Amino acid sequence: MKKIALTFLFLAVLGQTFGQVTPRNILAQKYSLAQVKQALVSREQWRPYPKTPAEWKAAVPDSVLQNVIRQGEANLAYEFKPISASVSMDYVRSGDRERHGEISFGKRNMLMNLILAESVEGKDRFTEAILNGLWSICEESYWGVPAHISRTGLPDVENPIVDLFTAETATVLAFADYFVGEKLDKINPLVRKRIYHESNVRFLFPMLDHGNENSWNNPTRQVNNWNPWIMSNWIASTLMLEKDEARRAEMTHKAMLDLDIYLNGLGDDGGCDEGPSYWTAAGASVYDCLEMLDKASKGKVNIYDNQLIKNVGAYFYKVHIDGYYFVNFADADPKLQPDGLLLYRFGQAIKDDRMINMGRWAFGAFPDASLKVSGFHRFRSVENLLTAQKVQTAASYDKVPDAWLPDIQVMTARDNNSSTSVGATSVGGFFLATHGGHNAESHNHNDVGDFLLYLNGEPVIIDAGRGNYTARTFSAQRYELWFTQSNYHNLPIINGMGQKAGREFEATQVSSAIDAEAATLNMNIAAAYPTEAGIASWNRKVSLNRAKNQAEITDDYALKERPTSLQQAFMTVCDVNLQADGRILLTTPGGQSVTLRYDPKKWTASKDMPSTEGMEYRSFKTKWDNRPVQRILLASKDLKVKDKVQFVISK
Amino acid sequence: MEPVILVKMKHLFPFFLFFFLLSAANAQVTPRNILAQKYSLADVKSALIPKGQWHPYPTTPAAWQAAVPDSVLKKIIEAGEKNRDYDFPGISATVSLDFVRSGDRDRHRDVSYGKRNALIELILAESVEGKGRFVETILNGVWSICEESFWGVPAHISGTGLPDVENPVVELFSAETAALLGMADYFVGEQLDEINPLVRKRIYHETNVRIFEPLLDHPDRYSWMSKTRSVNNWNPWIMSNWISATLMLEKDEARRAEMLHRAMLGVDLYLNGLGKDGGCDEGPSYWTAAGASVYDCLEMLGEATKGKVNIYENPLIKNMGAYFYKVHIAGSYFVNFADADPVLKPDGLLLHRFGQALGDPRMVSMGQWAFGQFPEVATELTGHHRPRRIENLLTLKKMDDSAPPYVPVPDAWLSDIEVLTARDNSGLFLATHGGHNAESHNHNDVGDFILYSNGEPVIIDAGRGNYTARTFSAQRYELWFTQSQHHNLPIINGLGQKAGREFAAKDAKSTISNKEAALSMNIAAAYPAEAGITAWNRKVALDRLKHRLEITDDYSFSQKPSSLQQVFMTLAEVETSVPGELRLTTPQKQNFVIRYDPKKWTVATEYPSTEGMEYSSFKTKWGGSRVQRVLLTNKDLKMKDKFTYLIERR
Repeated sequence: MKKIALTFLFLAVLGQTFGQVTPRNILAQKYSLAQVKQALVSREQWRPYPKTPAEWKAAVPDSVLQNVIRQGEANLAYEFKPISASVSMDYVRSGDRERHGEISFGKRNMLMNLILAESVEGKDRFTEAILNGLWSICEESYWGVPAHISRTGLPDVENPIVDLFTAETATVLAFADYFVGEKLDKINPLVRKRIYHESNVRFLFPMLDHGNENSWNNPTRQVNNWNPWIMSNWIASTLMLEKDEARRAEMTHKAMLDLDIYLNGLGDDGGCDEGPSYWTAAGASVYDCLEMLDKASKGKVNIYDNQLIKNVGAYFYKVHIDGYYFVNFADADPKLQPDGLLLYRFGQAIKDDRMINMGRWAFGAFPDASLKVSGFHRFRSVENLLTAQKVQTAASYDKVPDAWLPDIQVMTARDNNSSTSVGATSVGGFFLATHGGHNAESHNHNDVGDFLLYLNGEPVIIDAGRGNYTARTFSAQRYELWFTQSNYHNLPIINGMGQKAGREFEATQVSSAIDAEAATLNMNIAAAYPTEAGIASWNRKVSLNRAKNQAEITDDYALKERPTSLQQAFMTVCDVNLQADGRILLTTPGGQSVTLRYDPKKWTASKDMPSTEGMEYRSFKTKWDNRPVQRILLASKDLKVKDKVQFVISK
Repeated sequence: MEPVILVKMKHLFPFFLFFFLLSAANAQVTPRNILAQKYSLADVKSALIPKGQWHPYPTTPAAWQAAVPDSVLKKIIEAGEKNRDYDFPGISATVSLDFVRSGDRDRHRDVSYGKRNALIELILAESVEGKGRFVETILNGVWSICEESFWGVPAHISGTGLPDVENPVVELFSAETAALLGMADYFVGEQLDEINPLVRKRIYHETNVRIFEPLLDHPDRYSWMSKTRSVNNWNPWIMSNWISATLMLEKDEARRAEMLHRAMLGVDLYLNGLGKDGGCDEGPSYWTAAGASVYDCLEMLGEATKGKVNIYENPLIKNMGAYFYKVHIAGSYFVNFADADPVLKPDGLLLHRFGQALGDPRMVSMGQWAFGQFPEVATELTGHHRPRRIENLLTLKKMDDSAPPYVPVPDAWLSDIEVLTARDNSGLFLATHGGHNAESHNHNDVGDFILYSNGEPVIIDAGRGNYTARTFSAQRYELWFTQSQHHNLPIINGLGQKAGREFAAKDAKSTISNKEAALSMNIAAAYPAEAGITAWNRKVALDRLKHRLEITDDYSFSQKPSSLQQVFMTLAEVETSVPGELRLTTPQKQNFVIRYDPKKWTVATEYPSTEGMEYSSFKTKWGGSRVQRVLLTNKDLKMKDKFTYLIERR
C-alpha cells in the first residue's frame, strides 16, 4: 500500500494547463440544486453500508468478515502517534516523504481497520482504540502531506489547504461517525462534534467557500485525478457528516459541478493521459462519485448513458496489456493489480460487458486488490466488500484487439493470438502500444512517439516507468531525472538532444490505421524536439504487422543540416546480446527470444544501464521483477541529412 | 535539628488544583480596586514598553553570562542536553478521560507536565548556549503542544471529560502553557523563524484562541474572575501568566495595553477578596501561587511600565507578603490548616525580591535564610510560575549576606482569617484558628490547633491526602482528613462539624502578651443543629511563662449529650497507661504529656487509613511517621461542663 499511496501524489504541480476544455457540464446541465435537494436521501436515512453484525453477515462472505476482524485485532494495541514538526519538514529539507507517509497513512489505515472490525463484530472491543485514533488525527496540524504544502513547509492552521489526503482523512472520520458514532457518543458526545468541526474547518468549508481557487478545481482549466478523487471524498464525507440538509444538498450539488470540471477536460475518447494507474484515482473516482450520487438520490442522478462516461470506463481495458501489465506512458506504473469488483460495478453501470468480464477475471486473479480495506478510496473498498458475493470470477476475458484514443493519441494493438488472459498469467503474441501526444501531459515524460512491445504478456521493449517520488520529482529539476527524458525512451536522440517539456513540444500529423493486416500510428515528432536539434521533419511510423507477427518502426526524417550525431534508444529488461550483423537478440525473463533488426551499415550498437542509485532511482532495482533496465543505443554511422531507417522486432 | 521531609517536585504540582469547587463562595468582598483606582488604561498605554523593546531577560549567551553565575548556566545547559532527544508524545483521548473514568490524574500529568518541563529546559539551554543545538527539539515541543486539544488538565473540565475545542476553557495550566510558549517566542523566536515563520504565527494563534480571546471576551464565565465573590489563587496565578504571555506575544500595542490593564483589574478581584490582614485562607503552600503570584504580576507590571505601576506601599500588599512568615513554624514546616501541606521549602529568591519591593526587612532576611537552606528550590527550572523562575536566576548574583539574620515573628494575629500563631522562648510554637468551614480548600477544622516543639511536630493537623476526582467532589467530606473528627476538636453526640460558610467560629478574640498568647472562640456554630450545642467556648492558650499549652472547653447543651469525645492528632508514640496522662514521645525523642481529667475521660488510640488512592501519601508525608489519633471519650456526659487539657514537656 505504501507504494501505491505515493503513486498518485502531486499532480497539481504538473496539471495540464494547456489542455483543451470542452464545456460539456454534463451534471450541471442535467441537475439543478433544487433537484438534488429534492432527491437527496436525508442524513438520518442515509444507510448505504451495513451497520450491525447481522447486516454485515447478510451482505458479505464470512471469510471476508473474519479477515476484517483479524485486521482490527492486529491493530488493537496500535499507538496513534503525532506527526512531529521535524517529520513534517522532511519534505522541504531533504525531499523525503516516507517518514511522514508511514505515520500519517499508517494511522488512517489502522483506524479504518479498527472501525470496520468494530462495525462487523459489534462487541466494543475496538472502540477505545478508535477513539484514540480519531482524537490523534483531529489533533494533527495538517491532514495532507507536506509535499502538497511545499511552499510553506509547515501548515498554516489559519489557512487550511485541501489536498488529496485532507479529503481522504475527512472520509475516514466520516466512516467513524457512520459506523461507530453511537458508540463514540456513549464515551463522549464531544468526539463526533470534534469530527464534524475538524472536517468542516479543513475540508467542507474551504471547498464550499473557495474550492475553485485550487488549480485542480479551476473551471477554466483541464484538471486531473485530484479533482474526481477529492470530489469523491467530498461527497462521501458530506453525505455522512453534514446535519444541515440544505447545506448537505448544496455541497453535494457543488461537488457535481466541480466534477464537471474534470469531465470537461477529457477528450471525447475518455482517455486518461496520466495512464492506467492514475485512472484508478481518476476515471474510477468519477465512478465513485456517480455511484454515491446515484444511491444518495435514489437513482435520480445518473449519467451512465453518456458516451463520455462509457469511454472513461472503457479506457482502462484499452490500455491493458496482460495480467497485471498496463501501458505505462508518463509516470504510470507498468504493473497494476486491477480492482475487479470496482470494474464489475462500473461495467454494470455503463452496461459494458467487456468491463464486467474484465472485472470477473481481475477479481479471480487479484482478489486482494478488491478486498483490502486499507488504502485510499475507502468507500470503494466498502462497496467492494458488498459486491464480493455477487460476482462470479472468470478465468479470462475477451481483451480488445486494438484501440485508438484519438485525443490522447494512444494506440494499442495486439496480434491475432493475444486477446485472452488466463488467470494472472498470459497467453498470446505481441502487444504494441505507441502514442503521439505532447510533452505537457499530466505527470509528463518527454516521450512523444515512444512505444512499448510485449510478447505473450512479457515485456520486451519497455517504457521504464518512473522512479521514487521526492521533492525533485515535481520541481524545476524534474527533467534532470533520466526516466523523464526522451533519451531514455524508445526514441531518437538528435544532435545529442532529447525532446523538451511543454505543450508546444508535440506530435503533428498524427493518424492511425487499423485493420486485420496491421495496426499503425503515423506521426511527425519533429516539433517535440527543440529548434536547436535542427529537425525539418521526423515522420515516425510504429506498426504492428499482424501478418508478419512483427513490430516495425520506420523513421523518415529530414534535418536542416547534416547532424553531428544521431542515435536511437531502445529500453528493455531482456537479456541483450549485441550481434555484429544488425541483430540484437533479446531474451525475455521467461526465456522467449526476440530479435531486433537494424541496418548494420548505418548503425553501431552499444548498451548501457541507467542508474539505480539514490533516492529517486532505487525503485528501479525492483520495479521490473528485480531485472535491470538496459538501454540499447544505436549510433548512426553515416549521419545523413535525410534518410529513412527501419527497425524490426520479431520472434 | 528539625526533620526535613523531602518532597519531590512532581508532588508539588497537584497542590494548587481545583480550588474553584471549594472557593469561599460567601467570603466578603471589599471593592478596594487598588490597581484600577490608581491606573487607567490610558496610563498603562502611555507607560508600557513596546513589544519590540521588551527585554526583561537575557537573550544572548553574553547577556546570560553577565547576569547569572556560571555554575547555574552550566546546569541549564546540562538540563537541555538531557532533553535533546526528548520525544514529545501526544496526549491520548484515553489518558484525557482518566479523570472522569477513574479519577486518576497522574498519567495525564506525567505526559503534559513532562512535555512542558522538557521544553522550558530546552529553551533556556538554547538561549544560554546559543549554538542552535536545541532548536529542533524546541520546534518539536512547541509544535506538539500547539497540537494538543487542551492545554490544561482534565480535572478542570470534568463537566465535559474531553475538551470542546470550539469553546476553550481557561484554567491554570492553559495559562501556564501560554506563558511557556511566550518564552519560546521570546528566547528562541528568531531561531524558529529561520526554520519556518509559521511556528511563531502558530504560537500566537493558539495562545490567542485559547487564552487571550476567552479572557477578553468572557472573563465572567470564570468563577475565579467573580466580581461579587472572593476568589483565590487561580486568579493571580492565571493573571501572572496572562501578563507574561501578553507582554511577550501581543504585537498589537493597543491590544497589548488593553490586556495588561484587564489583567490588572483581574488582580484587583483577588485583592478585593482578601481581609485587611492579607492572610491566605488556603494556607502557606497555596500562598506561593496566590500572594506570590500577585507579586509576580506586580513585578512584571513594574518592569513593563518602567516602574509606573507600583502599589507596594499599599498596606494590604505588605500584609499579603508578611502573611508568609507569620505562618512559618521552623525549617520547612508551615502552619497547615485546610489542604495546605505541612512541609514546604520556601523560595528564598522570591521572598528576597518581594521583601525588597515591600521594604519588609524580615521578609528579606527570611529570603536570605531560605535561599541558604533550600537553594535548589529557588533555582529549579521546571515547574510552574516560569517568569518567577527566570527572575530567580537573575537574582542570584544580587544576593549577599548583608541582611540581618532571619528572626521568626514571636506571634501574629490574622484577624480576618482568624489565625493566631505564637511561640515562647522554650521552643514551643502554637497555631490555632477560628474561621469557618467554607474556606478555600476547606477542612472542617474550626477551633483546631497545632503544637510544635523545637521545630518538631507534637500535635498536628494531619494535612491532606492525594488529589483525585473525589477530592473536590460532593464526596469530599467522606475523606477522613477533611473531617473535624480527625482534627484536634471535640466530637459531639457522634457528630463532627459541617462544611459551609455558616459553620463558623463566633466571638473569636485573641489576646497576646508576654505571658500568654490566646485565642478564645465559640465553635458551637461549626456543628450542625442536631449536635444540640448551646455554646462551646474554646480557649487555646500558649502560656509563655509555664511553657505549656492550655486548651479549655467551656460548653453547654440544650440537653444531656449521648456521647462526647475529644481528638488529638499526633505523630508521637502515645503511652496511655497512666490515668490522666497521655505520654507522647516524638520521633526526635522529645517527651510531652497531655494532661486530662481521668475521672471524666477514657482513652483510646487508632491509626487512620493510609490505604487507597486518596490516603497513600500519608505513608510518607510526615517523614515516614504514622499519623495517630488519640480519642478521649467522656464518661459523665454533663449538660454543661468545663474541661482543660494541658500539654507540656515531661
